[in-house]
Amino acid sequence: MITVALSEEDSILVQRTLSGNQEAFRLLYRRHVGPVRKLVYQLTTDLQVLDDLTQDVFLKVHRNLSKFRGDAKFSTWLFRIAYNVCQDHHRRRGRNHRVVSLPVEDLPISAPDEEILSGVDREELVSRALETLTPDHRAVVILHDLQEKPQEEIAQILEVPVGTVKSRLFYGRRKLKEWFSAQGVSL
Amino acid sequence: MNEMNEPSDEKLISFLKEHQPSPPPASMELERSLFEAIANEPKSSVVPIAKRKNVLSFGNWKVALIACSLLIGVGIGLNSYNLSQREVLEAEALDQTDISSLYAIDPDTGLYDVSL
Repeated sequence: MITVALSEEDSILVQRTLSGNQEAFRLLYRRHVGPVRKLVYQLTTDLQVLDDLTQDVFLKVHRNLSKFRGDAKFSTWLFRIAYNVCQDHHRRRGRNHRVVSLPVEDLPISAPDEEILSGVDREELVSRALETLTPDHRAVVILHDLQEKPQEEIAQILEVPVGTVKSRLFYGRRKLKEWFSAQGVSL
Repeated sequence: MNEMNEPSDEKLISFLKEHQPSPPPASMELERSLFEAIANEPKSSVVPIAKRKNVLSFGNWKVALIACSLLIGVGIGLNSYNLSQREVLEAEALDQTDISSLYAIDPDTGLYDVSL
């Protein structure tokens, strides 16, 4: 029987899970799986491993739930675990910086500012652009500009000073603007 | 959040947001698989807070205190024994030392000058 309300705070759901209520963890999962899965996908751009890595994230969360002290938001702690899982994935694959597998010329972006560039093409274009960034810059750009996390929270997720977040954001955006410009996309 | 952004940043962010890579929705199979994996996890890894035992209990401190005291006592005893043994050996060595190699003979009295 579900004995937890949907509106309950994450911290209460954590406590209930630790008391043995698995339905509380199910609610935590359902509440956060969307953003976590999107983050994992954007960091890895690999649909084939997406569900495995997402499951890995929530298994680690469940295993280490007793270590969550509540100093930060649960979602911050969760994103930190998700980021680490993606980092481990990159290390296992032996690629600190993923190389674009296809030449950019293969993309159908001969006239990117016109209507012929479909939504799927633009999504692919953004995906390619993000892949040109270093993992550190990519993570900050994704968390800040796509996931709309504040810089202080990103600093907690990545365990770096806020100044480092600002710096990575600046250089990441600059690289993206240069890349888009080189592809003929005016922003 | 975007208070420091330049106009070109705003355009970039807007483009990224609008066309960000998004995965298809998670299937129920993922949830089922996750909770099946959780059910098969070893139980020992998670200890509910309410069931945690205080490892550093008073009883353990007493045992640790007694053990430390014993160790310190044994250490001090051994050190004292070593020092006394060394003094005995030094005294014995002194007894066997030729006193003429240590002190000069006073020419006036013909005795060893031990004034220093």
